[in-house]
Amino acid sequence: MILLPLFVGSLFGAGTWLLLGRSIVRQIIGISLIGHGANLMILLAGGVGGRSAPLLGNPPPLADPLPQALILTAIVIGFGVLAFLLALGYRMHAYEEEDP
Amino acid sequence: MASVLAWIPLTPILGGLVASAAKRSGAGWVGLLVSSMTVAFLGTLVPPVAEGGAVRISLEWFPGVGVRYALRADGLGLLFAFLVAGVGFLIVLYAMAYMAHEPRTPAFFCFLLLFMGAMLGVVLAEDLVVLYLFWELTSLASFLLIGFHHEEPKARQAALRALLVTVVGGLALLVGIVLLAVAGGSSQLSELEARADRIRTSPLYPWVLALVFAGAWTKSAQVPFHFWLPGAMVAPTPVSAYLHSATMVKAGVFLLMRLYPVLGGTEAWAAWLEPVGIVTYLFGSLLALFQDDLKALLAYGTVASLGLATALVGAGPEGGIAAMAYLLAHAGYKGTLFLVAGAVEHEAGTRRLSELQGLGRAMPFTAAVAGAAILSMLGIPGFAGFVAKGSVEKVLHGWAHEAVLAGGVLTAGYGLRFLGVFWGSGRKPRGHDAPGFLFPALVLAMVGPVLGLHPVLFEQALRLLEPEINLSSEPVLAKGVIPVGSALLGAVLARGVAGVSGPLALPGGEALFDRVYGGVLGFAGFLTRLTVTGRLRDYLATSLVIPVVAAGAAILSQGRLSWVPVRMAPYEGVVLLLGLGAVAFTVLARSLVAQVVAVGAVGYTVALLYIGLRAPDLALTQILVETVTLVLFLAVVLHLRHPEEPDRHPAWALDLFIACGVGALAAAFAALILPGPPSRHLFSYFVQRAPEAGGRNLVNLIVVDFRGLDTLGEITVLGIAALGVLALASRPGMRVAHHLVAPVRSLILETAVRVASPAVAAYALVLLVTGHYGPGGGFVAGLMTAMALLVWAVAFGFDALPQDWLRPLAVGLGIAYGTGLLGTALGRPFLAHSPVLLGPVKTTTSLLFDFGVYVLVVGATLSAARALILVRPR
Repeated sequence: MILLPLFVGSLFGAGTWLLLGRSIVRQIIGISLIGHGANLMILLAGGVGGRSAPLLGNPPPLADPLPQALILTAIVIGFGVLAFLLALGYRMHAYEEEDP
Repeated sequence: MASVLAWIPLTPILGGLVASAAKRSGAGWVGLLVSSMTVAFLGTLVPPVAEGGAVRISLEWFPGVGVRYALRADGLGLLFAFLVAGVGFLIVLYAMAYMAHEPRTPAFFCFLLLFMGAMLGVVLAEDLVVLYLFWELTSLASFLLIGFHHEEPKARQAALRALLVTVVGGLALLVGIVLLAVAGGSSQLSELEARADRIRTSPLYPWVLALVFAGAWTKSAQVPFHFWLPGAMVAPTPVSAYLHSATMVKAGVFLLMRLYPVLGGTEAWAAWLEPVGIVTYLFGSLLALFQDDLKALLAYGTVASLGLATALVGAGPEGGIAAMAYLLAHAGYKGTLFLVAGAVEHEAGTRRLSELQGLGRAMPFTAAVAGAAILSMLGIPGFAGFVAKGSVEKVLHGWAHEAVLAGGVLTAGYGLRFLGVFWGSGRKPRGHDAPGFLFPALVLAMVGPVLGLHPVLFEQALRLLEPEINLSSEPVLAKGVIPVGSALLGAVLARGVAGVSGPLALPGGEALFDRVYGGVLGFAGFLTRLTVTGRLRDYLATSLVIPVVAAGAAILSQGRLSWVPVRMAPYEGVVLLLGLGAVAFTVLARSLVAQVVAVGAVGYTVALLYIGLRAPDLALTQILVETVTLVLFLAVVLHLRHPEEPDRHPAWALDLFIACGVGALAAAFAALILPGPPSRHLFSYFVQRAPEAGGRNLVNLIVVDFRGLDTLGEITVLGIAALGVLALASRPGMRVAHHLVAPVRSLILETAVRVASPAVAAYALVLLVTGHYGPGGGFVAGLMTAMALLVWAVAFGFDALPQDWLRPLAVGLGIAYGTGLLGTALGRPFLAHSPVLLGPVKTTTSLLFDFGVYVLVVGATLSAARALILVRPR
C-alpha cells in the first residue's frame, strides 16, 4: 500500500509549507498537520500486522497497544498546545490592530 | 612537611577571600598575615631542599586523564617562591600606605593575594596541567589589577590588551603541554625529565618548543609581544612593582628554566632564545632611555631585563644559574625603583621627568634609597648587581657579550636619568619622605649591598639551585672597571637625551595588536549578521534543511526502499485519497475559513484511518478532539477583524523546495519503517500483566496504569495550557463580549439539545467506567462531556453554565495526584494502583485516577473554549 507513506509525507510537506508562511493562523494549521503526520508515523513504527484492536479476547494477532497509548497522549497534548497557540495568535492579531 | 606544601598556593587565595570581606583597614593586615605565614611555610621547606632533596606532594585530581594536584619544592621553585612571598609582603605593606585613600582596598588586596597564590602555584607545580591553571590565574589577576581603576577607559583598554596577549600565549602553552604529555606519556615534570631524550628526538618536539616559547615570550614581554607591559603601567604602582616587574613577568623565564631539563640543550633551544632575548634587551634599554614617564622608563627597563634573562636561559645550564642570580638582583633594585617612583608621584603629583627636579632636598632618604638601587643596577662593585653581572658575562660569548656591554651603557643612561629627578637646584619642591613608602623600598634596596658585600649569602641562596656554585672568585678591580666606565658613558648619554623632548615613539606591536583585535571583532560581527537574521523563518528553514539533507543522504546511501502490503479494506484506500485531497485543499484554499474546515477534514480522515489500523481508542479521541478544535479555530478565525491574506515571502520557491524535501523525507521514512518487524517484547508483558491491572483494553490500561506517570505529566501540561489561554484572555484590553454570551434562541435547537446533551453526557460516563474493557476512558469521556456542555451553551447561552472552570481543572488534577499518593501511603511506589471492590465489580484505584483525568479534561476544555469563544478586545 503505497498510499499510506505518501499520505504521511503529504502531511509533513503541507505542514512545513504552511509553517514557513507569514500568517499566524496558517502556521498553526501547519503545526496541526505535522502533528497528524507524526502520530501516524508512530503508529506505523509499531507495525501494522495487527488483525484486531488491542482488546484482550479479540482474535489474535492484536495490534500493538503501546504506540496507540503514546498517540492518545500526543493527541490530547496537541489539543492543549493548539488551544494555547490559537489564544496567542489571536492576541498578537489584536495587538497589531491596536498599534499598527 | 609535604602537607604544608599543598597549602602554600591555597593560603593566599583563601586569604584573598577573607580580605575581600574585611573592612578597609583590615584587608591590608590580612595581606600581611597571609604573606608572612607563607614565608614561614616556605622556611620549613628549606632544610630538606638544601640537603639536595625536593619536597613533593601528589593528590588525585582527574584520575581519568592522569592529572594530579602535584607540587614540588626544589631549589628553583623555592627561590622563586621566596621571591613571590617576600616581595609580596613588602608590597602589601607599601600598598597599605599607597592605597590609603582608595575606597576599594578590600577588592585590591583580594586580587593581590589571588595573584600571590596563583604565582606560588606556578613556581611550585609538578604537574604541567596544574602549572597551566595557575599560569592563567596569574593572567586573570593581572587583568583585574591593571583594570583596577576601571572607570578610566585607558585602564580598561590596557587590561584587555594584557589579558588577551597573555591568555592567547597561555592557550598556546596549553597546546604545547598537551603535545608534550603525548610525546612524553605524562604531564608530571619528573617523569618528563626522565624521558627527556625521547622527547627531544620526537617529531612533536619542534611544535612543543614553538608553543612553549609562545607562552613564555608573551608572559615575559619579549619583542614583539612586549607592548602590553608598558601599557600595564596604568595599574596602581604597587601592582607594577609586584606583578609587572618582580614576579609575574618572570613566569615566562621561570617556565623556560623549569623546562630546560626536558626541552633544553638542543640547537634550536639556543638558536631561538639568545637572539630574541638579546634583541629584546637592546630594544627595551634603548626605549627606556627615551621615556619621559618614570614608570614607562622602568617598564621598558624591565622588558630589557627580561630579554637578558631569556638570552641567558638559552645559553645552557650555567646560563640558568646566571639568570637566577640576575633576576634576584633585579627584583631588589627594580622593585625599589618602582616603589620610589610611586612615592615620587604620590608626593610631587606627577611622574614626568621633564617636570621633576631637585626632589632630593625634599625627600633625601628616598633619594638615597633610589641611589643604592641604581648602583646595584649599574653593577658597581659592592652591590648584588655586580655579582650578577659577573656571572652573566661569563656565560654569554661573541656578539651577545658585546651586546651586553652596549646594553650596560644604555642601562646606565636610563638609570641616571631616573636619578636626575632628585638632582638640581631652584625652588624647594613639595613633598617629604613618607615612612609608609620608604620602609618597604629601603628593605628591597638593602638586597643590593647585603648580597653584594656578602657574596657568600648570594651563593648560599643559589646553592639551592646548584650545589657546586662559586661566585666570589671575581677580581673586583679588574671587573669593576667595566660598570664604572659604563656609568660614565651613561651619564653623558643621559645628559644628551635630556634635551630631546617627548618620549621616543617606535611603531610597536600595539598597533598590530589593535588591528588584529579589530579584525577578529569585525569577522565575528560579519558571522553574526550572516547567521542571526532576527527572522524566525530563517532559523526554522535552517533547522529543517540540515536534518533533511543529513537524514536524506543517509536514507539514499542505504538505497533500499521497498513497499510492503498493508492489510486494508478497499474503502480505506478511498479514505486515503480523500485525505490527500483534504491536505491539498488545506494548502491551496484562499480563504482562511475554508482552510480551517479543510484541516478539520484531514483530522477526520486520520480518525477513519485509525479505525482501519485497529486503533478504536485513537479514532474516538481524534474525532472528539477534531470537533472541539474546529470550534475553537472558527471562534478565532471568524473574529479576526482583518482576515489575513494568503501572502508568501519573496523566497517562496525556497519554501516550496524545503517543504517538498521534508515531505519526501517523511514519506521515505514511513516507507522504510513499515517493513520492519514490530517488537513484541513489551506487548507480551502487557498481555501477561493485564489481568492484574483489572481490564481488557490494553491501551487504556497503559494510559492509566502501566505508564500512569506519563499521563500524570500530560494532564499537568494540559492544565498549564488551559491556564495559559486564560492568562492571555485576561490581559488588559480584553473582556467578555456580551453579545456572544447570549443564546441562539431557536426552539428546535433548544428541544433537541434538551434531549441530546444529557444523553451524551450520560453516555460519556458509561465510556469512562467501561474504559478498562472497551474503547473509552477519561480522555474520551471528558471531551465528550465538554462537547455536550458547549452545545448546551450555544442553545441556552453561556450564562446557563458555571463561569469558573478552573475549579474542576484543579480538582481533577488533585484527584489524579491524590491517587498517586495513595500508592505511596500504602507503602508502594507512587501511582501503584490497588484492587478495589465496587459492589460486585472488581476494579482498581486506576478508575479513580481516570476519573481525575475526566474532570480535568472537562475543566481545561471549558476554560479554554470559554476564553477563546467569548473574550474579545475591548
